[in-house]
Amino acid sequence: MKILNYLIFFISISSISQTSITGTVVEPDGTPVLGANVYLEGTYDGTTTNMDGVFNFTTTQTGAHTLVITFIGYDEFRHNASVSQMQEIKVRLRESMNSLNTVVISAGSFSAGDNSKTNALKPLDIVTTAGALGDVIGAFQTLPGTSANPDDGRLFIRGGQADETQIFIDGSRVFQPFLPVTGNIATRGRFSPFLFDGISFSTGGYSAEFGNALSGVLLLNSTDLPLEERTDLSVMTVGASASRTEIWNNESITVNASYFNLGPYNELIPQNNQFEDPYQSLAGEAVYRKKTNKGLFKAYGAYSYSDFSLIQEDINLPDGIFFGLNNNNLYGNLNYEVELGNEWSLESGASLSHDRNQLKISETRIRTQQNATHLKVKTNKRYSNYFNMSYGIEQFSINTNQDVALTNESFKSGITFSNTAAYAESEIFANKSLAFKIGVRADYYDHLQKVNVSPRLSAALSLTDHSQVSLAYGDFYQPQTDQALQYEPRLDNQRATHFIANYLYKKNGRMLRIEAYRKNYNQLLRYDTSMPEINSSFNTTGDGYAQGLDVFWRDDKSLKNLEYWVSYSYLDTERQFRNFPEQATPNFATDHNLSIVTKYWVEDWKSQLGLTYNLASGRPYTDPNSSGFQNSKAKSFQSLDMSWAYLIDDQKILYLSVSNVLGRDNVFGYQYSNTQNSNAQFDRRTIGQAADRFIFLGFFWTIGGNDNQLDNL
Amino acid sequence: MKTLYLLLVICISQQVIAQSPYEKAMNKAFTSMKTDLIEAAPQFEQIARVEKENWLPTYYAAFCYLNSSWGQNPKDQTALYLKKAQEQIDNALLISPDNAEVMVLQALLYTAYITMDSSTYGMKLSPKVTAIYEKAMKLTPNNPRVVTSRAQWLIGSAKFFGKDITPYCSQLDTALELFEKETPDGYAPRWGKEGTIEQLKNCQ
Repeated sequence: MKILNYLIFFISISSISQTSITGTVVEPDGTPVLGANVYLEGTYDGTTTNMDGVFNFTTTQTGAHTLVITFIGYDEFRHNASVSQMQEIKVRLRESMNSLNTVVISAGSFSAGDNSKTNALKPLDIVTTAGALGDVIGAFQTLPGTSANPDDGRLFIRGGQADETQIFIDGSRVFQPFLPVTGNIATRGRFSPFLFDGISFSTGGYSAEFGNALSGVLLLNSTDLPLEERTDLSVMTVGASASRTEIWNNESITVNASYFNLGPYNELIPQNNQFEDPYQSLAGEAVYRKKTNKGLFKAYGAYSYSDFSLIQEDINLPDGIFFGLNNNNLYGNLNYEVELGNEWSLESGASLSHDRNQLKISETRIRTQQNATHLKVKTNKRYSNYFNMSYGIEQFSINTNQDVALTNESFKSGITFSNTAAYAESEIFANKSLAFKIGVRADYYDHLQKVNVSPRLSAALSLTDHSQVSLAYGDFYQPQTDQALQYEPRLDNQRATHFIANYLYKKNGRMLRIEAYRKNYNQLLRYDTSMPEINSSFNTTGDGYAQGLDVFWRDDKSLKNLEYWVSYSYLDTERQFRNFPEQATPNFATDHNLSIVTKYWVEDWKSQLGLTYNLASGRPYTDPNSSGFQNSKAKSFQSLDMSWAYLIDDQKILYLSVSNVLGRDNVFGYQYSNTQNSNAQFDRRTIGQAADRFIFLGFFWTIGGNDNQLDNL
Repeated sequence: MKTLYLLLVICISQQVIAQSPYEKAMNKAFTSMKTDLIEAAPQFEQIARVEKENWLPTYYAAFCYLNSSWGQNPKDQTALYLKKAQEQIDNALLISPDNAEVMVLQALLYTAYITMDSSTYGMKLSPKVTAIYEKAMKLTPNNPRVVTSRAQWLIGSAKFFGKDITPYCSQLDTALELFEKETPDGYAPRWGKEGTIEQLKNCQ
């Protein structure tokens, strides 16, 4: 009997200490959730909800506990209370925000290499776009918002000059991103495209994190720690390069060296330029990575040397003008990114650049030297999925010197520039369909002893699961060109104001993006001489505008093995700047720009065939034989480029690329004689392309591991 | 009476020994896994929150999410599951670094990304997959899942280039032998044999 009592006692104890926990779980619209996981944190006590969203389970736990409810696609629900209070709990789950269902602020920006909604280019597109020739910048020329300037090669965004776009690697500015060239040869970026795995390109309205750029920013993020050791060799019609990656524990180092010489190529393929010494360059890059406990340290260093000389045609000088250049460039970039815990992260970066040019133009010798540094620290705090703040400070110092030696006199000039900036920006999601980004940036300029404050605002709203609209507004300041500042340092900064409206549709491998914009320019530089000179009278009363429409369509889906995109930009822009006698469209801006890029994979040939067609309407120029300024237009620029990449096996690729296959004789403008001929007309010389076609043949070989060369295609 | 009491006590405690809450929860999740991976995954996640030093629950959570990602899902859905799977793999590797079983899941997850969108992820992830398999082979050359997954990955690229796949087929045979030798060990991973047999059919 005693035992029976014990037993009853035990049973009653256990029944007393069993608490039942009950409730219902519904979706935001009230629909019951079937199969949500409900449990007490840190215990095995729990269940899943039934068809009516109801849960009911018992626990032997007592006191305060956390009830956790999880369901894929929804935010985790947590409820902290005494177990005895957990009855009849009504839970409305909140849909979780992820990259797929959440609106993104897309006004002005494109990205390459991620899976986000704004992704327009894939990593491979950068190397496989016909005509881009593996140039980091090349593929971006096929996106809307850019004006084709194939005689320059840099990015001209929405009626802006090339220097209105700044380039950053891991958040630090690159001061001399392009190789120096002349003679209508398109320049290239100095950096190997394989160093980057995420690129974002903005044609306006960008974050408060970036300043000193009136028109655009190109942000390059370098790759993380590699996992495989490898050697890459390549032999091309224009040179050769080799690279090696070594890895140990959490560190890696990659070094590469390249030598290019266009001499042999110029012998074979006729050039429109008369080279004295062909273009040659020697370059080396080193990349070091170290993974720390909670962060990643990256160091990048690059050195390049290049030289060439040619006789530049000139309508006024029958023998032409000698132009020789040699350039030395040293660039270093350090970056450390770390998670500080509690949703704080910190990124610090530094970039240093030393650039030296020696030019000989006819009998004049010019030496220029630039030393520049950029230091930056930024932090980010994620308060919740709905609110995110970032803050940063940065410091730029740029020292430029120029030494001009004429036959019998010489003079020096220079400018030291320093700029300190701070910014704060918050990203706010009202819900997954409505987001705002509010930022402000303050820049202090030493040479002006002045602060510029630039607000940046943007918002985005989802229309359907696959489409959204987005708006952006921002003020942007940029110092005047060094060419003018070295003579007149107190010239106030140029200013641009952007207004952007963007529509984005993306579904199953198809993307449509339409963007309308208006950009107002103020405080542009004006002077009264043909070039900025010591005797020029400078002021900053110039102004102008740019407005237009950009359309981008990409489709990877409709036809098997075919990827293509079409970009069209309409641009209406006029400015009163430099020595313009009146407001007019500058010669680097074209009304219509069209790019059609296609890539077709031929399984049987193990080949990727690419065709790119570029069209830019004629550029304006001034014909002195009739009245007016910028009174004529050259014929349109058109180019059909093709590429063929053949995978010999998994470690070897043969790549052939021909630019301007049809050999169209493109005209960029005309140079008119200073004096009239016997018929009282000014003679002219056509400014055409450097060569009718550019042919590139390369063999790329990867040694090491079980590498799949397909990956490099 | 005393005997009855003892018997009762023994019965109760035996039951406790027979199924700890951990085992009970794991068994339940394994039962769910047979019918619905997406129902099983959060159950494993829940267990993982209790069993902070045990890599197995988080391993199976990753396994469930990863295997739900294959198939006819829309790309968005696939990406969502893969993201969840990656979180679980990260947790498992924190608990048990250099664990070849988890490394195989990581390699398969990267492969899923490549399958989903080769031109976005191929260049970035293929070398990683290769490197992970090489490392896993060094750690546990006799793990049949390492051997078979690596061989299947290599067969994929060899086929693409029209190369001979025979050497990799013999690795599948090796894997099959290793599967035969494998003895049950608690909740340790046991999958992979059927897939290997399936893949071997392509070798003939």
